[in-house]
Amino acid sequence: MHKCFVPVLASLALLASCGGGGNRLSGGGGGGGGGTGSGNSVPLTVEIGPAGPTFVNIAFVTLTICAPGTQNCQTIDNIQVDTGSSGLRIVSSVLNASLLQALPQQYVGGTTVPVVECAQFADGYSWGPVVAADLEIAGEKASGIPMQVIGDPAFTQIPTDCSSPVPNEEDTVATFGANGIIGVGVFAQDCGAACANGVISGTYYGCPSSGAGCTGIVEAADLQVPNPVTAFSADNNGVVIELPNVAAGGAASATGSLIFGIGTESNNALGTATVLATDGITGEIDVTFSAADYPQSVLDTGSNALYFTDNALSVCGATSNGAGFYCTAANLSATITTASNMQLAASFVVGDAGTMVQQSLAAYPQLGGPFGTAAPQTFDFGLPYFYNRNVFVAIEGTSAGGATGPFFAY
Amino acid sequence: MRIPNTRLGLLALALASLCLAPSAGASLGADAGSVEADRAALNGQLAVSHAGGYEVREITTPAGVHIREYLTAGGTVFALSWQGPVRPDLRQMLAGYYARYAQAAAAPHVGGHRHLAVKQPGLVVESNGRMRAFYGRAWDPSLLPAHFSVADLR
Repeated sequence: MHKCFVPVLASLALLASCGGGGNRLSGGGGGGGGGTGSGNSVPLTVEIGPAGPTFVNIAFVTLTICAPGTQNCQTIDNIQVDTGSSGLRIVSSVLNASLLQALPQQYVGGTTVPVVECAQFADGYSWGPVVAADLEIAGEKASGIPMQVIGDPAFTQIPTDCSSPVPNEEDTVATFGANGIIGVGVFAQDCGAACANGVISGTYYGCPSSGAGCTGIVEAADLQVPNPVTAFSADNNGVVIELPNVAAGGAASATGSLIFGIGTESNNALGTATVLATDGITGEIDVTFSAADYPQSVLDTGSNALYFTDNALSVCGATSNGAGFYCTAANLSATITTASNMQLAASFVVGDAGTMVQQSLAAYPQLGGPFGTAAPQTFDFGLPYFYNRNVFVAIEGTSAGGATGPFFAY
Repeated sequence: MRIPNTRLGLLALALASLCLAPSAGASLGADAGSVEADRAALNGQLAVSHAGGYEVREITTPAGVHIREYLTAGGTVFALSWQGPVRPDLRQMLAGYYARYAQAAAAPHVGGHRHLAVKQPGLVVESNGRMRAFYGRAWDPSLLPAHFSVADLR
């Protein structure tokens, strides 16, 4: 049983709840650049972010970035927490000039050619160099890990096989929707074996001569942008997302916790949570809804609503506050089938987005929407499903609470 | 509605740039002959199936993206679907449709990083998913065979 004791260094911010194990400070860096605290837990807040109220249901944390091994640090808020991706990415304009300059550029092996990444999203792409950084969050530290700087003004020549699949550039706070993103999903790196074994179009590039003339490169796994949790010295097998209950009609903000580690401290025990092993390649789970099978389903804080196909629900019209979401309220239930063929009921409520969505609110526990027109194979349990529920996200290949990642559990 | 055939030019461009950026070139509105050319150019695998008045041809790219082309009995590609760890190059796959898709792609949308839908009378494109698992569909509503349901696009 871990005891909570007060760290000796008074310059550190103390968390109100010491549910985690004792002093989690790493040895290096002394007080760290105004480090965000101790323990293995940080506040996780759903609120209107720096890009305004059109970006709903985004859960943010504050973290500290330092040039590796130095006190040249910056504490940055409004970083989106994403269980559907892996990797730390920060918008260039958010970084202090002196810090941006001090983050070492990653080069293609044995050369002076900068490595630049195209981060792919379904709605666009983010382009920018891979650098090394120290990450400090709670009392955890990841030293010298690859991180992507999005929208770095030194790299503006974007290759067409990066931009053309979905030509929507998201390299500013306004277009990205946050100051950055911390991907804490089930995968250890953002690309994995595919990018380590061959050149995959639209992923990693070597860009010589002032950011122009980029060509695709092979990128070894340990050089790829990692899930930063894997680089912590402890509490490094996953995370727990804890968000409070939120009133049905929505709220201006909701604060819970992002907890590091599964089964490593007194605040992250798996307990009676049901383990939902995911597919090892895609990170997906199997869901049944309304007698249809959705084998490519997810639990995903990076998704802002419950997206699923239900022809009985009407979709809000273009002039509605809830345009694009469901305008019919309904109490519904799906079934998640675990790897051991257990059936887990997944009940949820969809509200009328036409009346729910307001410019003054950010947290919508009943926001639901259609998953396109054509029948998908995905049931997307986005952020609404995480309210009033503690969800574990275990990293592939790790031992977590007696089970082995990748898995979700709740 | 006939689509200008700019596809041959784009295919030549695709072949020329293959060493840099291999991607699928089979395209919406184009003809069946393009499919075999694309398969050969991509060194991809092709599977063909017939169902209810239309044909489905599948190409798997070296990056592991599965692209399905849906062809009418007359041999016109009326829809595309894709699934894979990265997104395919829609510039070549949409050919003459690409410009209007590109214009619409940057418009405000509700789905955050996970969902994008372009819905126009002559073009629908849906892009979903995340790194390692992207899914999408595109079709020209005016080219759909009679009795075809978009729910059959998988």
